[in-house]
Amino acid sequence: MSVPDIDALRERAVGHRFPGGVFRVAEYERWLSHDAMHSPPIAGRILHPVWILLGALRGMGVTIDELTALAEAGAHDGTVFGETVMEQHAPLQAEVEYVVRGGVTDLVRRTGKRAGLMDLMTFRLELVDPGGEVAAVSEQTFVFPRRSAA
Amino acid sequence: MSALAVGQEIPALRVEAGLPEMKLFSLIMADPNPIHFDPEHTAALGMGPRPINQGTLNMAYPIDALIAVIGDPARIRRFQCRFLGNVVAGDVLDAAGRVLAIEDGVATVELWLDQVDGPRVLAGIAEVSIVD
Repeated sequence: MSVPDIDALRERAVGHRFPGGVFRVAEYERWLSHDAMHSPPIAGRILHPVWILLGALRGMGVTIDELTALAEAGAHDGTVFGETVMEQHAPLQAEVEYVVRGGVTDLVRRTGKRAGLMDLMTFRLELVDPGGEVAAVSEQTFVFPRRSAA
Repeated sequence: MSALAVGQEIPALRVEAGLPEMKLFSLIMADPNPIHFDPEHTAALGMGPRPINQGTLNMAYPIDALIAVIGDPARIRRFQCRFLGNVVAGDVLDAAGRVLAIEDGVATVELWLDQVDGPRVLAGIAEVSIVD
């Protein structure tokens, strides 16, 4: 895959609103995910804070594969996480449905000493509880290596 | 269990990045990227024969270390981190931290994830309410 023009890519991606949607974490998913994360016991139905990002990804209305395609990268290009910010106004809970809304806020091209050319796409998503309050915010940067430029 | 003080250490939590957990997280995240589960794929990319841990799992370990001290994860108001290096299946890591400051009822806690006898792979900052 060739390296896309950064100006055209920015014009297409920055400001792009995701379809959005909802997510709901089943209790068994809470159990399995906390186990996989080596989480200490967490009382009640409260979800580990990492679920802010996991929930945002689930409910934003596009898959990671589609998000990767928006950056004109592929699932086999070695996409990884860049900087992550999570705000927690109220803890997320299992068996509660949250609305997710947001979109792409930035896309920049960088050259790393080891990784070479890469594009960094940032998107911000709000997680809204059934009462209409923003329970949490996820701001995530994905790093898309442009290996074909090497 | 809940008190925090400036300079307080968040004791190290030692974890192993296990391939079964990574595979489970690929499903949880609906993430088709084979670098997280297919050794042949990571090798073909020149990234070595061991799949690369999910970033979400790397984030979770320092938060785990913090929760082990503060008890209630609802007290975490904000968490920010940067990924400094890859973690691959089988790596053993120490997640730990230190309270940097307390102001207006909020503790700023530096958190990190280190390879045992190796480099730092994640650096983060958490803001934690000091009131239960």
